[in-house]
Amino acid sequence: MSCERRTWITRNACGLDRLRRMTSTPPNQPAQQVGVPGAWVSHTMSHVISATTLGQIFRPFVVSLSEIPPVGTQRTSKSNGSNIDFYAELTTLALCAYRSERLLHFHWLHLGDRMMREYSGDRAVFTSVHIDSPTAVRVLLTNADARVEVINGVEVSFVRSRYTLDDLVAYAHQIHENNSTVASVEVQADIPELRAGVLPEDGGTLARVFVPSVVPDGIKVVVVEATRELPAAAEGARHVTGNGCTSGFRMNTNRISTASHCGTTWGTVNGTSVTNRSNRCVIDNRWGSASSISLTISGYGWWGGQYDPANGATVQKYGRMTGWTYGNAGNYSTSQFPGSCVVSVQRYSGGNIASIGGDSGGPYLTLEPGSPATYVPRGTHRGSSSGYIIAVPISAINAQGWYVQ
Amino acid sequence: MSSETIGFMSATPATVDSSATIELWFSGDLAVSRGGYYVILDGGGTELVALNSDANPEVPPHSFLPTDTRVPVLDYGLTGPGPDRISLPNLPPGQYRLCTLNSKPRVCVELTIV
Repeated sequence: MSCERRTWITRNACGLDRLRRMTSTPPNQPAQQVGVPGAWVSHTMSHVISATTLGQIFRPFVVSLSEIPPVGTQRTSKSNGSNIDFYAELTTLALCAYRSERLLHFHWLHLGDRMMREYSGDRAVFTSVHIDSPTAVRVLLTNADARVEVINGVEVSFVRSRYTLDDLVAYAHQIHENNSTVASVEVQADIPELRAGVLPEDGGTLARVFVPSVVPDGIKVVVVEATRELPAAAEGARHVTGNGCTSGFRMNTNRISTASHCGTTWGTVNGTSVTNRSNRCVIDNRWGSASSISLTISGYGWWGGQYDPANGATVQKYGRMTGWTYGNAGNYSTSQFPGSCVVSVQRYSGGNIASIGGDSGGPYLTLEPGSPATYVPRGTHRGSSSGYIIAVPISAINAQGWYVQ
Repeated sequence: MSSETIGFMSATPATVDSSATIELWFSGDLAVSRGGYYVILDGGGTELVALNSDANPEVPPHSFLPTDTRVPVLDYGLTGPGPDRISLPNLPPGQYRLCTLNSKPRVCVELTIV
């Protein structure tokens, strides 16, 4: 398992999965209220986001937001290499928000972005940039002269560090390579600290990790219990790389779905190779098998039932090209391209629902409030017709003997 | 989801007889992913006919009136630079535009039918 830092930025990464990560409070880390009404913060990320604003940006997911306990701002006591990921994550969210033309004022995130642009390229001196709060940003450089600049109302503190980020990452690799039971080493650049994660079931213990002599004494090494990363599984709302479409749901326990009209070549879904098995023209569904298929979609588990939405109900749609959009369920209709089957479809309109080529096969679902929230399958994407987005309703799929399960 | 996309499409040949087959080539985001449907507009911008290319063997090429509520635009995805081939319907000589119908960005090429 690599100890390299993960980078979460991906193109078109404004979806539900990202929002959940951004707003969820990790287990076993109870929220603390410190007095900023209407603000939300995760304990592992030193950011504050207006719940109202998020609700405006991600209107379909207000339900899930409402379940998150209100907390206030939190100044980070420590920052780390992963904070760079968090920072990048936040910047991406701001970019998503900016592009949605609903939010323009994450100036502190833009400032962090600016600091990264200006300083991270000089690897010989760069350590890290930390967004500690909406009014405080730290820049750690090995040659910094300690000073504070106020830029657009944000205090930017320049702090002299002892080690560059490249140094710390190299030390992390040293620890990783010299301990077979260490699954990961996390760099906390501003302490500085290296957190070695061990898997007890692999024979690792929390007490013993060999620290090579090359690692300076000034760098604290702590040992924590690591969590095993599960191998990727094919799941819904993912890119079907072989035919350019979108995966829908796990069906009949051992199949993953997409649209029948997308073709027989699956390639991979969420990094997992999928083999074409069968298709059924009258419901425009195709199914493939894989070594592992998950019922989870964007972090949400299956609610346990499946039924069509009522006329007028708001339903979320995922397509790999348009991401998560939402619209209102309408009338049932039929759809046929020349020489092919007549397919029963349900029409959608309103909201911000959208589709373009590549979205076929993607899931339509609604979220059931709960802890955690779960999804109810509503259909799979087919295309558009006369101004409507059209989906194969889940009832029609069920009627052919295929169930989300 | 909103994101800036840049893509280009070219047609060869750009001057054709009615009912000819033309090849479409793509670059930028359209070479990464695109839909398979197009629409032909007259000089006044009126959509005359919708059609799809031969690039998806599961969906044979066909053309239909954009206002035909019975015929769907299927949102399969295509990749690569092309060529995707489309057979033009029988149209009178003149200047037309051929535009992507279910791709982002929406781009057009000029067509002259002689």
